[in-house]
Amino acid sequence: MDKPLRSRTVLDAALAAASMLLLSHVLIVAFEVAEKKATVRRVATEAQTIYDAFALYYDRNGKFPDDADESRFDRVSLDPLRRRGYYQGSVDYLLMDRKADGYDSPDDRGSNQEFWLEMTLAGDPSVRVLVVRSDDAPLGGGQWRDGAYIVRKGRLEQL
Amino acid sequence: MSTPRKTTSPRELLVPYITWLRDHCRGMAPQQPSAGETRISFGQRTLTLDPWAIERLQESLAEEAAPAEHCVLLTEIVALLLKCMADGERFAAASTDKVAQYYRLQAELMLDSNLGNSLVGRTQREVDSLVQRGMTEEARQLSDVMHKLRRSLVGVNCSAGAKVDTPSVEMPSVEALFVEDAGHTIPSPDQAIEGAADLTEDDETFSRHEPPVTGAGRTRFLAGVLALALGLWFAAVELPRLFGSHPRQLRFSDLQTPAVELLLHSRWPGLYVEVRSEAWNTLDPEEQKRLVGDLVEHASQREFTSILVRTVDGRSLVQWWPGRDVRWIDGEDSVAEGTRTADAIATDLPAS
Repeated sequence: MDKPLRSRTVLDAALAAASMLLLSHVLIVAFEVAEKKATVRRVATEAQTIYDAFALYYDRNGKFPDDADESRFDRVSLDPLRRRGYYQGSVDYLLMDRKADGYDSPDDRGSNQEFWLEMTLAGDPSVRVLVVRSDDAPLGGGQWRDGAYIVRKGRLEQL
Repeated sequence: MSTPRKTTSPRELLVPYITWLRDHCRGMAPQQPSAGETRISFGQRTLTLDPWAIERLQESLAEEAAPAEHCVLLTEIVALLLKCMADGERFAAASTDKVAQYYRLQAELMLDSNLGNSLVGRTQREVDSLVQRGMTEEARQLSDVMHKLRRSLVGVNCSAGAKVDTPSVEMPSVEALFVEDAGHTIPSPDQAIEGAADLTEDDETFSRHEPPVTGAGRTRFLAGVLALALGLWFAAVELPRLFGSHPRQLRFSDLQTPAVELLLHSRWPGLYVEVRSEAWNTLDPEEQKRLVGDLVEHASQREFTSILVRTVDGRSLVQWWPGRDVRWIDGEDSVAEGTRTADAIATDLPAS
């Protein structure tokens, strides 16, 4: 093959390969972004479910799960909500270290009359979830919050 | 839809070279059969012709009489050889950097090859005709020239990179058969073929080849695709990475000589700090304040918006938000706002 033909063919092949490489990377990233969004949607749904589970627990028990006594809240298994059938989801699979970051049921408005639960998404640590009925939640900024929230890019959004 | 090709008769493509031959032969004396070979300088090359060929050329190029067909064919063959020489020189000198020009010259050589094949066919028929008419000597001479042309075409095909059916071992080029270096510079082959470039009349056998579709268009297309992919990649991958949120970290080593061992969980914008109860209890209130102040200072610098210090078993000890006093929570987790015990007092740490 002639030199210019060969060099042009090599150049064309290199251009095509580079284009395919870039486009495939874009596709992979787009797929990852879509997957993250789907995960965030799923964890948001789970957060709502968990909030409903806490509310139901409170209705039946007159208090939220404690972090000290026999109804101690477990950040891994989400007991007693799961053990007593208030919650049957599987949010732990989506969380960093497969457990919630923190839980508390402060007593400053009465014994276990408040609660907050904070979680971090495993696939994207910049996304955090807050399920709360309290003014003591760290992510709540010291203000009264009631519901399920998501924190993205440092901003708190109610679900 | 394809654009109709411009066609040009083979004879017309050779007109500039035939004209040059006519001018050149006009000044030559009539050839004698006993005379030696004649050298015709063309550009920087020389074409060597025997007396028979010179005589037939002069007969064909004479304006007063209609020449015989085999003389016309001989003239066209010599003109084509001149054209091959001119095109071969330009192709050899062409820069590979100018791809369009390179392929145009290559196409010109391929056109020469096609013209030559046509001439070979016509010459073969004329040789047969001469034999039938009993002109065996004319037929032999013409046949010799035809075979030389055929071998020359093999060289042209090799130069142009075209496939040839003829065995390619030791293929002679045009130069090897007809040409010697001369060093003469007149006339310019480029000037000679300029006249052929504008000939566009339709004719039966040949279509003047457009330059073949070069790889330049494909390369430009691929370069465009690459540029598009690059832009897409930058917009979809790099920009979010540059301007996206990056969770900050605060590590134990970032703190200034903490009095006790701490376990830091950075969950930006929140920071969880775990400490063993026994270790915490060994600190006096001033040491605890210093430790928490250190935490607040470094967390503020990294734009954390909350700190929760708790024991390893989950008991909350201290809480902080920007713009608020540090909140000290007693060991029973029963501090009510405004009714804090001595262990649950707001410090005078600066609010960030």
